[in-house]
Amino acid sequence: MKKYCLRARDEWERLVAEAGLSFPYVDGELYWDETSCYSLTQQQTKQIFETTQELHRMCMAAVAHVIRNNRFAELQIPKEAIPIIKLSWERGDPWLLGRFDLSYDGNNPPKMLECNADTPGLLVECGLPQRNWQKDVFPVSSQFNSIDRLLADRLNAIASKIDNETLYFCCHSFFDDEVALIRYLMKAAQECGMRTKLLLINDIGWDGHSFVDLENNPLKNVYMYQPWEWMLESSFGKHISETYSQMLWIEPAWKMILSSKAILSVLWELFPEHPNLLEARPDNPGNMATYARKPFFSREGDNILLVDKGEHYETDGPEENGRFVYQELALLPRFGNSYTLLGSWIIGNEPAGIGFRESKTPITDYCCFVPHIVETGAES
Amino acid sequence: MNSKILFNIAIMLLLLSIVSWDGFSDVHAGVDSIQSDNTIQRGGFGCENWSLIKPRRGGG
Repeated sequence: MKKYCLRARDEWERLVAEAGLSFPYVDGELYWDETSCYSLTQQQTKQIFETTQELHRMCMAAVAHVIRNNRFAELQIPKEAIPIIKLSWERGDPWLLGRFDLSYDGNNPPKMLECNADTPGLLVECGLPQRNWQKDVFPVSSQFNSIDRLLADRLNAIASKIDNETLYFCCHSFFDDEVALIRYLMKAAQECGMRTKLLLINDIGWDGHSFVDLENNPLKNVYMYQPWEWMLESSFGKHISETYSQMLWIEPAWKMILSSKAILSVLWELFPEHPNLLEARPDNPGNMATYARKPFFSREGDNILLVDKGEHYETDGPEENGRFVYQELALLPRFGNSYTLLGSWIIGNEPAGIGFRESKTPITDYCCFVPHIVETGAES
Repeated sequence: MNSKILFNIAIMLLLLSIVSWDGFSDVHAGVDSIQSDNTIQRGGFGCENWSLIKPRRGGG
């Protein structure tokens, strides 16, 4: 795995915006950074593909295990969520996507840091903008990027399940990347011939029987970009349980199991010493001398503590009163001055592509996206 | 005879207008009852937590 320094394309901002990435800067700082790129060999790409497939298999087994053994309380999943989790799992509700965050240096086996199963970001960056960049800059190389094709496959499968009914895409409007991601998904659904509507989460209504849109049409099929645990805590939360059997929520409620970082300790318990997992345990570090402490439910790198031989790195965040999982430390590899995090997508059951993010600190709460290529041997 | 027919027609028209008036009233009554039940709440999924989050950079 190598890192190359490059010159950004002329008019790169326009080019990425045309491909759906409307947020090249975040908070005034560069986010899409094509002044460098990562290069992988085909063997390394195969290793990431197989790891992603394996992690997905283990995660699905862990979900089945938690449901079968009623281990919800250990994951701090509220009681009212259990019936809808079980229903969504038993009914085989379709899911769309998830992203594994991996520590990978190109030599050692990738280690899973966490699984973003409910509201993963990074999809737009990894999709068409990254593909177009590779075609423009490295036309003879390849890229690990089947995101658009696999999204279409998965959405086609969902379309056949909901017939000709509308699929609502719901998000908040606070952040450009969130709206861009929803628009990207919605466009993919439209290209599959699906009827879609964009609906802001705050505009969703409750008429006493159903959730409704702004014209008071009942919602039957919803892609919701808000964490499940927050939805259930909201004042509409109780209505989700009342109506779940008549609705299709994407992602399905069972994704809550993977959202709790306590799943990391369940995975270690079920697959001890697996080369792609890190030891993890709830509530205390046990014998671990170096570890990452993560809240069961946290987003965007909030409230993370890394302890590395006496050195501490910590991020702040909204007040955290819940429990923590302690995970063996796998510091991110450094390329130049940056810490590099690899995000690997699963769409349906298929490894779908990757994206690299770089951060100046070992915790990637503020970072930038860097594109990648896969060497084909025809580069020189 | 003609006046009898005219009388009957007048009665029928009167009855029809009553029937249609009643129907119209029913429709309105229906609309009114729907509107009175139609207290749609919005914004119940909340956003307080989401808006607390820092600018997002590809996390999840």
